[in-house]
Amino acid sequence: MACPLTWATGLTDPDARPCAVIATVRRRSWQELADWVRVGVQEIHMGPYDNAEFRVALKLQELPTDYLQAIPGNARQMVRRPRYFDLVIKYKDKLG
Amino acid sequence: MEAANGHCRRQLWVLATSVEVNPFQEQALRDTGENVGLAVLILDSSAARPELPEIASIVALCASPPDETLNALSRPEWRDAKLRVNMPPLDEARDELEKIRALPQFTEWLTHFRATLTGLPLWSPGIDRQNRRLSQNLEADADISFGAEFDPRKLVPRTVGSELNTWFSAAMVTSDLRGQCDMKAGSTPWCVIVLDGLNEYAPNPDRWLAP
Repeated sequence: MACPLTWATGLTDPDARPCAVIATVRRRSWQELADWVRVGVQEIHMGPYDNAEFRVALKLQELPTDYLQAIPGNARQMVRRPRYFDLVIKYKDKLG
Repeated sequence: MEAANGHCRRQLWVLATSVEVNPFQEQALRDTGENVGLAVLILDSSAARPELPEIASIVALCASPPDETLNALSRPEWRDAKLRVNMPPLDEARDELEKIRALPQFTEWLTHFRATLTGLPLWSPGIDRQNRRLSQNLEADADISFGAEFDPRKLVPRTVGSELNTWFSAAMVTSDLRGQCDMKAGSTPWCVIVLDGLNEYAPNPDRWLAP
């Protein structure tokens, strides 16, 4: 992480053009490294589907709006995450 | 120095000179331009070769739109005060420009010059090309490029998109994001998109899959 951030901030070369947007999946690492970028930062967090997004995702899969009731409780948080949405649906019958 | 001092809207350096720029000078200028994100166009005495070996490229450039060149020459504010006394009559200048345009390989030089201009690695077209390439990658072979298939039929619009649009609009109005050539990282309008941390700390599937 340190090396790409060094490049992103233009710290490798005082004349280099730094970028303006960073997208990272490393939330904890970013918290540790955020001081490298001193001012003018706006963080935008993209997490699990909110209720409105989740309804759209279910509709696209032609699933009922009460789909959460059809899966075990410990998977209800997981299914809201875009990365696992399809997997949870696909392996619904294997969920514990 | 000019770009480093904050003239952020510029995307191109043009060096117009009546002498020939040697390869070391040319490389140094191109390296500096690359470092500060500016394309470099050199119009020296040799740039019109091989089509117009006897004509300096800046002269050939003046001949490509003769009316505009003559219009500029006719305006006093364009004339150097010291050189004004030696300024030839506009009719003579027109004749000279027309002679250059009539050279057999002038059209060939002009075509080559236009191709050079459109091929310059300018910042904005570069961004556009990169965005188009990324879009094509997403649509055509996301599975290969990103390890996950992209199916637009399954696209779920994220509400966070409005936050991004708001930040982008504000940055375009209040900052140098368009030019993006402020050399100090601390004064750049930063936006950090922190995606779902589960990609970094993957969950144990044993917690949610039955044995």
